[in-house]
Amino acid sequence: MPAEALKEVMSLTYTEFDLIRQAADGSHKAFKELFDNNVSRVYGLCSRISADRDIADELCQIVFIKAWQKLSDFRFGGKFYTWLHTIAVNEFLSMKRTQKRFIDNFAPFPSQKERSVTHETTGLKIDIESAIEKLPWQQRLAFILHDVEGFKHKEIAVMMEIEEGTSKSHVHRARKRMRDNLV
Amino acid sequence: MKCEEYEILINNKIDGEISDAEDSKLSEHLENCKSCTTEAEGLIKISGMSESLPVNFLSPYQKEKLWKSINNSISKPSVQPGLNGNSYHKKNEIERFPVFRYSIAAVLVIAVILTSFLIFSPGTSSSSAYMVLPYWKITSLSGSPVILNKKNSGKAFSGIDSFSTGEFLTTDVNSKAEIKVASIGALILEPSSKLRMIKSSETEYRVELQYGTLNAHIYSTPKTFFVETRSTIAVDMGCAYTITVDTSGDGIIYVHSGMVVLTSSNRESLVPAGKFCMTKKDSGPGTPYSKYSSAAFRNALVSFDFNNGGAAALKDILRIATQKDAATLICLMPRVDDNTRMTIYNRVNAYSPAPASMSNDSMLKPEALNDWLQNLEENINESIENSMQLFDKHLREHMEKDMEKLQRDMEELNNNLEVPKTPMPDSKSYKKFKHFEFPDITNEIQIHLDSLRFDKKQIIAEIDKAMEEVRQEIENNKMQLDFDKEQLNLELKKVNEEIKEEMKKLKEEMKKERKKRKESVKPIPPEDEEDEVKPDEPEKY
Repeated sequence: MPAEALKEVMSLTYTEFDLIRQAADGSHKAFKELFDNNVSRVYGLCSRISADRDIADELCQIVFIKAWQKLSDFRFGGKFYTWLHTIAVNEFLSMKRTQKRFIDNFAPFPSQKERSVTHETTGLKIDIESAIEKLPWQQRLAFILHDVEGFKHKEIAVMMEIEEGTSKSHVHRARKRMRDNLV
Repeated sequence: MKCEEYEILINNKIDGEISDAEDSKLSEHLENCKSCTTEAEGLIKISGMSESLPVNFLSPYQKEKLWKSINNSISKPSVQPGLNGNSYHKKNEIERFPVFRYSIAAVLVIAVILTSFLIFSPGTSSSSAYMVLPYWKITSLSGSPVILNKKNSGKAFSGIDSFSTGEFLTTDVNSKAEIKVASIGALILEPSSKLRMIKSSETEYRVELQYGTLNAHIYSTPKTFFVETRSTIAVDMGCAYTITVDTSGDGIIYVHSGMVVLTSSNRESLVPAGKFCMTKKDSGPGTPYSKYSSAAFRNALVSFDFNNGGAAALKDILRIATQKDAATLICLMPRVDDNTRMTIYNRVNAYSPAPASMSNDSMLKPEALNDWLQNLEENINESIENSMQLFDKHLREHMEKDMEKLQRDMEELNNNLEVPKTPMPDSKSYKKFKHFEFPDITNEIQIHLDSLRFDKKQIIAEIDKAMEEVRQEIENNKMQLDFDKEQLNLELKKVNEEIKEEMKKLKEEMKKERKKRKESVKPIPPEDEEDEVKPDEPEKY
């Protein structure tokens, strides 16, 4: 609806609009600025959903390369970082389908092969991060998108190509599992 | 309900997706169920902690490394914005010849420096250089306008988008769009319209209105913004106007403020503020007229402008014209013969004197008539203001008199109606007056009369209050406009400074790069005599 879209892009500054258009015209400098503004958040998402640093690096690169290629398709009706998140989820799901580096229904404990991305913060936050890593990948993805990144179930359903009810179910189960793990 | 079902409600509440009825049901259950309460606390804690997890996983070194890798990929010609090629498998010729690549880079850098020098040299506006964009920002105001590219494939949008040179913007019956024309103004494309961007440069912004209605509000220097139609070109002279054309190219323009010049191959019309002007495909623009012009006058104009009405139509125009049509007569001057021109001149001059600089030659050029038109406009405005003040004065006086008269009448009526109560006839007298009954209604009449009294002072006070509110509104609008102008100027200054900073940095980097290259070029060592290649000696047999 136009009124809602207009409200959404009220937060899209003229600078970001300008950067996106310049980057779409081929400006590396403009794209670098977009990269600087968004890479932390995108990398954070890639790290958590993949639970593997190597995959997170690769995934993050793919996200920005794809974003560069598809800039002219970006619709100004939504936020730019939301669009990057959608690309990240799509690429991650693509990886899941074509590469067999993950076990579908059960994520193993962090081992030497899977270098964890948890980092030094308070003890409780380390526990939360490692609890997230232990989740099955679908629950992990839905949980991160909802509770960490703040997307609605409707948006998550579109990104993950599932039903809204399934998204809710994943998130609810993820919370319960994490709660049990942390107790 | 079982505890498992309440668990779903707990999660829905954390998600913010619970109805009031479910919420109160849940609250009631939690008061009596410890295990569910513990469960709820645990889940809320998990969700809360997850919300506040840190975002930044990357060190500056990691960030730089990541960017290098991405930049290498996107620098390949096969990976460009808008293409879907696989970036990882293609190599290109440029990669095999590093020297060639460096040469291209050097040429590009020099080109950037030269271009920026031209942009920032005295006489050019750096702020306008920054603001000149090959694309314009468009916002859908209602519905989903469609952007059509040069290949005629379209994409509907809602919210914000952009369109660039060669592209079309169309609206259907339900949609409407606003277009920001770089930094010089804005357009509104009304429903059922089609617009094409022809050009966007520092000195010229040009669109084509194929059909429909366009509202323009432009605040750039004159002759910078152009709207082409099949019958005319509207040249902006710093103004706001509305132009409508149909699919055949016939149209009409109304200028809200400022002035527009309409041109075609054989005609030119100056359209001042408050005037309409028709245009026709094979004739070009007509003569501007006021909304107060009579229908007969307008018909005579149409006959003269578009139907070869000639001398007869001109005669009608002069016969029917009143003081309200003075501006139209002035605009007509370039198109008529010398005698008629002098007739018009004398007639309008008597009403609103021509400027001293007006000569025979300037009467032939629409733009040169502008001063006279402005004087005329000022005279009209002054006379309207005087009339309004006079009207206002008369109205007040009239109202005061009416109020006083009404007050007197009401008092008189009031006095006359204070009738003593009529006693009810007794049984004896009733027999005499049995056909007449006099019910006691004096109280009711008194109440009704009281309600009709009104306070003259109160009404005058209300009128004063309303006028004060209007004055205040005008004042507020002026202040807001000044404020907006100031903000725009500040932003332009800021942008200007940012660009200068960037250019300084670029120049410094260039210097460093040159130094490094000089240092890296090592002197060629002297040739060793033993290594010298000798010409082949003929073999001796």
